[in-house]
Amino acid sequence: MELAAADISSELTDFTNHDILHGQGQDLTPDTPLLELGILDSLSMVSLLAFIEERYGVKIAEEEIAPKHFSDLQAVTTLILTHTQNQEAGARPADELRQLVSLQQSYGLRSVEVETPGRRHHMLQSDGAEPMWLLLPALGNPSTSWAPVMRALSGEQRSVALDFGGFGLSEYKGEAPSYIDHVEATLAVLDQLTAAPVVLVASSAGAMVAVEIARRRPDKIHALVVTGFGLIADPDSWWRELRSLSVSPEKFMEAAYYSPPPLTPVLRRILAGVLARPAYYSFLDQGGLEAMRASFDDIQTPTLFVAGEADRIIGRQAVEDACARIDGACVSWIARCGHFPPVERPEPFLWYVRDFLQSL
Amino acid sequence: MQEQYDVVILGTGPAGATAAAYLAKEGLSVLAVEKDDFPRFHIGESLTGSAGLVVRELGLEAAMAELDYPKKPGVTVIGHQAKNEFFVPVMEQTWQVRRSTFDALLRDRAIENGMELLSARALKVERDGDVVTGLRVAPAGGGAERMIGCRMFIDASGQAAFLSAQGVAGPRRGDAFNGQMAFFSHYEDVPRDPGPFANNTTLFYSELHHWAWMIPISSTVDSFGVVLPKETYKQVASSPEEALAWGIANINPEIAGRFSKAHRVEKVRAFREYSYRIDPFVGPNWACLGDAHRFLDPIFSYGVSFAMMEARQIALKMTACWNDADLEEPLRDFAKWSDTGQNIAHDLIKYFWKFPVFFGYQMQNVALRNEVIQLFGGACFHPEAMRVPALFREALGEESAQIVRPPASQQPMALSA
Repeated sequence: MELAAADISSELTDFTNHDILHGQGQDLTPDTPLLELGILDSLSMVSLLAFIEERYGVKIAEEEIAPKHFSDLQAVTTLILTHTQNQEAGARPADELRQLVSLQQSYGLRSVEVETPGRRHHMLQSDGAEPMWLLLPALGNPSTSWAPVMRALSGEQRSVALDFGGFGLSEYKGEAPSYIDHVEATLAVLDQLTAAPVVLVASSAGAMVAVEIARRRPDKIHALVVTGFGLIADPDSWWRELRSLSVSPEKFMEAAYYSPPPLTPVLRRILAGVLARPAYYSFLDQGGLEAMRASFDDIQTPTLFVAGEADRIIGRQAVEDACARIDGACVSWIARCGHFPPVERPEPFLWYVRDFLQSL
Repeated sequence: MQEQYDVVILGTGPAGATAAAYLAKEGLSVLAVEKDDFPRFHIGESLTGSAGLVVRELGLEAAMAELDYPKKPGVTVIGHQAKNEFFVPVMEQTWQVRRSTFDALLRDRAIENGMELLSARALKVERDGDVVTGLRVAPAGGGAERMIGCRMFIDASGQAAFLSAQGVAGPRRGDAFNGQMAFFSHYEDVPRDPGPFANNTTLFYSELHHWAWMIPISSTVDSFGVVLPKETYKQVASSPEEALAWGIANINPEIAGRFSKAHRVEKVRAFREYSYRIDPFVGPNWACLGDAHRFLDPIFSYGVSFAMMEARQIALKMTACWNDADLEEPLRDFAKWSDTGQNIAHDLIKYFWKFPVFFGYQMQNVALRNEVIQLFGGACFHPEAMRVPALFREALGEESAQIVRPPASQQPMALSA
């Protein structure tokens, strides 16, 4: 696809007039000063970047999001052209999850694969000091959901975020995996990665895998951090509710975030892709729900809970009940934050985890 | 009291007291002249990481805890309509302070280190040609005017900018953020964020140049202030009380929620035409510190911290060269150092307002973010090897303080009589 500058700038002008200014911008031309007129704010910027990515297959790196490239639509056109001209044919990964990974690679994270008997696991890694942090994603989330935290750790702290089997870029052949399968696979990966104890950090239902590992192999776990999870009083109705939420991406985002990000077409496709995976359902349907009731029993590892005050998927009571089951555990609450503190408030999240590790 | 001191300092706020504490500790004879009775109210209640370092160097860490000053994890910035938010951690242990007691604490430390204190009003600086030789004062409570001689005179008179008013330092010129007005007071019963983050500074912003701060200054009291352009003030309020009420209701939805049960425990004060600079601000045997030569804008709480860092810097420079024939070199170095830091801080604030969307994206980019965190902490004075100052300079063009004006140290400066 060879696009001329004139085509791009006219498409960008149409998009800005219709989708950003909602038809109020008939006077807008490619050289209208966007910044001086305050046309670009944080929300319209997200829409514009999503449009560029969809239409031209160009992912603008954060590094390039600078005033000089967005002074007017002409400048944006030039920016897009530098990308399309540098793009080798077919170089762009077709799959959205691979695109997310390659974007994180451009920020210095590494994409690593590990083989355990019969399985291939994909993970994202930051290099740095030991002890390693092993980051387990929420049910359905890819390893890249840890990227905001990992990029802040990059160069300072070794961390590995795993794609659970059947999610992200990790394969799972045969039957859809149960949560016990994930526990065993994660332990096998952990044994390959390091012999030393690790800091195990897990989000949402990923924490079910983490606590089971801490219970079975306390020698391997230096400290445990659980975020967006707790002791759910009635797992069956909780799971029913979550599944009904998941039918509509809008409803799910509304419940999961304090301020939900705009649902771009890319995000919509990623969400739909997750919900179509058998592994999303087998995680809890095959024995996971029963196990939930005893998730936090017999844990000896020092544990921190980090919870968003506005989490509408795991309530305050569930977090406090889980915390009460573990000797010496405590909860750090984050204001104006929903179900995914590492995504929505990565900096306060990291601050609390580091503070906790220092206190040990 | 003597007739002659090594150093005479006018003003015992954070700039004067810090300079005195460092200089007196090195064995110089130091007299500080202060017109106000302490303790007294002052605005500027949050310290950056670099100021925290000065507090610890002065051995005041234990006293900070006794005074119930909150330990500050960082700054939470809540954006327009509370739709986005970011957090900037401090790099060094530091505190939020109540200025009435904090300023007294610093001054007491200076006295313990050997500073003498004279309660008096400054009348006139004495010079021999261009060289400052002493200060003429009127003692408090009456008594004859007297002349105190010194080798070095430091103006730490704050916004009064004594040496500028005397025509010794340059004229006071409005700086980039003039035309803003601040209205503020102290409140109780304002809900805070949970855990240690209760001690954060919270900044709330709205459209261009409309913002508010919340700074916890003890376990129960919060400093709260609203900053508005003059034009907005004229449209929405006819008194400081009304302006503050308007700000609570309109700046950011997050503020309105927090203030429903709050009650005010101090009178409402206002602060205007506060952004200015004075150039030159050093000369033969004299220098101006902190607000006595420059105040940018209160948004990132640079005021007290810059005053204390400048005071430490000039004290270290001067004591290292005290036995030299003149003080030209340390003063020149100090001016250059100050200009570098203040100009970068200026650009940081300007860029934040001019390009808020891009500032937000840059805060997500780890490399740039780490630099911005350091700049917030006071690293403006040591920008070597940083990329962000150049990025701001390039984006701001003509409006950058880093390129629009040559640093004062490059301007001709007569340092000998």
